Amino acid sequence: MIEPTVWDYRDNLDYDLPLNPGDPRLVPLNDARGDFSEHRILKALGMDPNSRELRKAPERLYVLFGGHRGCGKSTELRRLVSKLQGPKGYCVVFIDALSELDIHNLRYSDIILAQAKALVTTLQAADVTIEPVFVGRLNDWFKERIENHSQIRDLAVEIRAGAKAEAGLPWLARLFGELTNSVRLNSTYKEEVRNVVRNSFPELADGFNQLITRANELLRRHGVARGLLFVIDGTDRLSGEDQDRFFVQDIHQLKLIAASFVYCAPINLLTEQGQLQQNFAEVFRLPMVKSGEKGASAMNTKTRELLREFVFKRVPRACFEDLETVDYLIDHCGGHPRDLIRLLNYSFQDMPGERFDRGSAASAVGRLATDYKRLLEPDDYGLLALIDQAPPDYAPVTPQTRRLLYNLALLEYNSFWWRSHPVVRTLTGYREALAQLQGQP
Amino acid sequence: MQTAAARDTAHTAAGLLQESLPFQVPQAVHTQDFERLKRLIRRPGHFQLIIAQFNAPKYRDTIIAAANAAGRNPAAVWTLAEQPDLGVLQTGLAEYAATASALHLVGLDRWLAMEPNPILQGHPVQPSPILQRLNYRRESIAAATRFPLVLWLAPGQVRDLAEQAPDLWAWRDAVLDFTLAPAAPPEFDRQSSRERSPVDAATARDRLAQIDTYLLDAPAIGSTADLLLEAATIHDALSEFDAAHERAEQALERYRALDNPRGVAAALGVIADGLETQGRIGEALRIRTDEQIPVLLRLGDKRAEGKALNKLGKTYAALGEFEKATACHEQALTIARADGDHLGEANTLLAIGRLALRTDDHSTARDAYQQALSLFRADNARLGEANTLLAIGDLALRIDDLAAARDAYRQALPLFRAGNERLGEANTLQGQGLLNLMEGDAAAAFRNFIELPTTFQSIGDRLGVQAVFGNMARAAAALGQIDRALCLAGESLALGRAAEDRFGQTITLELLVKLLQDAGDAAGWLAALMLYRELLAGMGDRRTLAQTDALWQQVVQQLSAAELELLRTQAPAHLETALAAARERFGSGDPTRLD
Repeated sequence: MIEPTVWDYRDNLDYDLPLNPGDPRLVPLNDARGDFSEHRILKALGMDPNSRELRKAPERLYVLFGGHRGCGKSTELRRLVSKLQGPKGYCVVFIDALSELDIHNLRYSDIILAQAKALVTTLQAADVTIEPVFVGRLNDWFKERIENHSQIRDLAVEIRAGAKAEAGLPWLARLFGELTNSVRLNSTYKEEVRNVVRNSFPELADGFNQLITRANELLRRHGVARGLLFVIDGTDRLSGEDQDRFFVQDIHQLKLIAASFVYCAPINLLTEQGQLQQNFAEVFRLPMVKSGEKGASAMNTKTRELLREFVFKRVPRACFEDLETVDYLIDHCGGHPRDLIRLLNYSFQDMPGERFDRGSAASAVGRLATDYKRLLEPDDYGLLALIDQAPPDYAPVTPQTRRLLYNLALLEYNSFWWRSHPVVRTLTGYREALAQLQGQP
Repeated sequence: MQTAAARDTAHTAAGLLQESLPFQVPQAVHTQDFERLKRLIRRPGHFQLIIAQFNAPKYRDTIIAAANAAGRNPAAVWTLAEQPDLGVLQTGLAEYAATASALHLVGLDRWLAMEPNPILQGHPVQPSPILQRLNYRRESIAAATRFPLVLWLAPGQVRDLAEQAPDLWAWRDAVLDFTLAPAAPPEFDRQSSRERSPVDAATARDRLAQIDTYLLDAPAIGSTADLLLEAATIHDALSEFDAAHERAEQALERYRALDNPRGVAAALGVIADGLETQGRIGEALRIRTDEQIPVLLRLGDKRAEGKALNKLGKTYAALGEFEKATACHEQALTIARADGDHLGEANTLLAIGRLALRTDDHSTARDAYQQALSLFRADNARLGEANTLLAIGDLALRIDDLAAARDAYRQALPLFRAGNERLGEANTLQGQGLLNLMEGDAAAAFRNFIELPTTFQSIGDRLGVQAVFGNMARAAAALGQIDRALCLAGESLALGRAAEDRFGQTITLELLVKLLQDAGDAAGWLAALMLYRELLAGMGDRRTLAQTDALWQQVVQQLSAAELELLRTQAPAHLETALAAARERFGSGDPTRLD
């Protein structure tokens, strides 16, 4: 039998893939995140956390699930879905915006089309058949708004031709599949389809709502689920203006859809008080894995054990020169799971032999620090040093701190305290700023 | 001559009487009250309480200025500060007593409007603290104010004063009315502000058939309640109000049984919309204030609440209660802004502009429309942009800025067409026709209207057909073709009756009064006038009714009670005879086609 080498674990260093429930690499990190409680989310969604039964399905609910990019949101979301899904729970319509849509150019119209497509696909998979009368309104919307629209008539012809004699859900699956594709790809029709959706949105929403109401009734009748829930992952990747437009300005359109939704949101958006809190009934944060309280010199033992397990489930202990190398990488990840994998990956690229050694780990930390350096402005160092030195309740929400949170140079831990990323603290700019703050020459 | 006639046609809202008495200050309908005001404020030396009801601040100011210009000792005008302060009110009155011979107190209406509106707050009616205090302090106010005091109040506030400050009310020397009637062609306003229509009546009817078939043996569950409500909205868009009402009531019953408050509020909204479109404003108001808004308040759905407040504002405006209408829109605007809801804000600004247009406050209308246009454009909301451009065109038409009207309509038309919004397209073409009328080109106006009945029919909008027949009649009258105009107006009236649209019928009857006068048909004219007044009375539109009082008094003086009663019973037949005679004189041609 051939002994596995470090190369056999190369695929485990891919840091962009969320883990599905049941994946052997999965390590429950929630106990190390502080006050994050899965129970609270379940209860907000009407689920009894003990019996896993949907006791009281909300009529409509809009929930934000946020945290730093790479903190494990997508993995946690998938774990959550596995707990929500079932005959006594929800029929979950899951949309991964990263794969379904163009996340770098996303509008609410795109999400609605993707939601309609995903709902229809989910119903088909559950063998639920919807009567034609509940498809009719969406069909009329297509006839009146897409087929009669001079600039996208050709697209309508293509959709009709492809559909042949399809009706009911298969027809809707094709319709919304094609429309979603047209906005995902940079097709000729992209902007015009968006305009049509935006300008006829009340009609589309009414038709969609009718379908949702009937789907809910049939899911219950057939024992598939007691409620319907849309979970949208990937919307946390929206950048600057796009995220404000999506979560603040356009949320009123999204809320015309009469169902319950969980949307993934970026951490910097969660620091916005006021409008966001008004627009979403519940906001849940997934904090970083916490090494200890702010200012503590050593990492909490339990956290270190969990993060070691996290590493060893991807790369066995034998592939490391010593445990100190593993701990060195853990100490520099800031409790950020994706950065820990990234450090492993960088280290793998730099290591001279078959094992992760201290030299390659130091090199990895240097490279990650350089990644962050590219994102920082000269005056960011002073602010980061100031925040690090201040008591835990010092967390000034400004455009600058929002940017730093978004860029991950500043990390948020449970109970809402902030600290700079450990690799940022290795940068000269930071060290100088800290020295200046401490009054050193 | 033709131009003047055309302009009158396009401008007037109250119709015949305002056309025969051109706009002036005071308006003819207010002449008697204006004379009383002048007399009353010339009696210094003792306290007199004069209550003046108004709904347009600029008109109020002009009335005050005109009354002052007529006397040697002008009355003082005290405009109260923005924030209520009753202490200041009492000391201020004492100060004025030292110097003024009479005083117009301006701004109390604003203070009262700022008090929490019980209807909007979802609470039972609470007494106004300001009115209660005035009632309590009346003796000290009277002692300090030894001169005529004119309290300027909004119409609803006068009623509140009577009910909530009965002792002060008992001291009134006069209650004068300076409220303005809506100034726009009302059916055009109604058409322009309708929100949605089916693109194609045939598709809509197919959909209705599909729903009806399904509902034959469907259970009473949530999804079927939704279908009933959808059927109601389709019937409403097709101007089939009875069917719409019946379906909405059925939906309402199911939503109530299912304990679905959101559905209940939606069904109530559809019922109120239909009633309002038909001119049953009082019933619409009751449903919105007593039933729909309390449900929305309990739900806490701010967006739906804002939308309902805008509808309520429109209802109040239809009743001439402009202060309350303004309060509703302002509250909706506050909600939309607090919520960061740009489209809600833009739609509310559009509603504010439309209200301002009705009260002839053109600068407010212009500002509101410009803000709405910017928001819609920033959001790339083309239907909203097109609707705002249409509204800007209507405003420009009203203030005789014909070039601006033409430009706005020209921009709106392709936007409506690109979105296949046929209702908006038809309304824009109607606006362009009215523009032609104002430019004195009645033939071009008529040509503009010619295709519109077909367009409105194709989307099943019977009220649209009714309105456009009325406008064609106006164009024909401007061309001097009175019989053609009577034929067209007769068609318009028949459509209004078929749809049981009392509001639309009043507009057409008002037009018929003028046309039959021009035609020299005395019996027909009298019949139309009587039917017009009866309908206004039936609708409870006392303000418009009052505008015909002077004319009606002349009629009454010349007829005995028995003759009047006979006329009352025979009026429908007399009108039919007059219209038949006009059709006969016109001949066998098609009145909608110019030779």
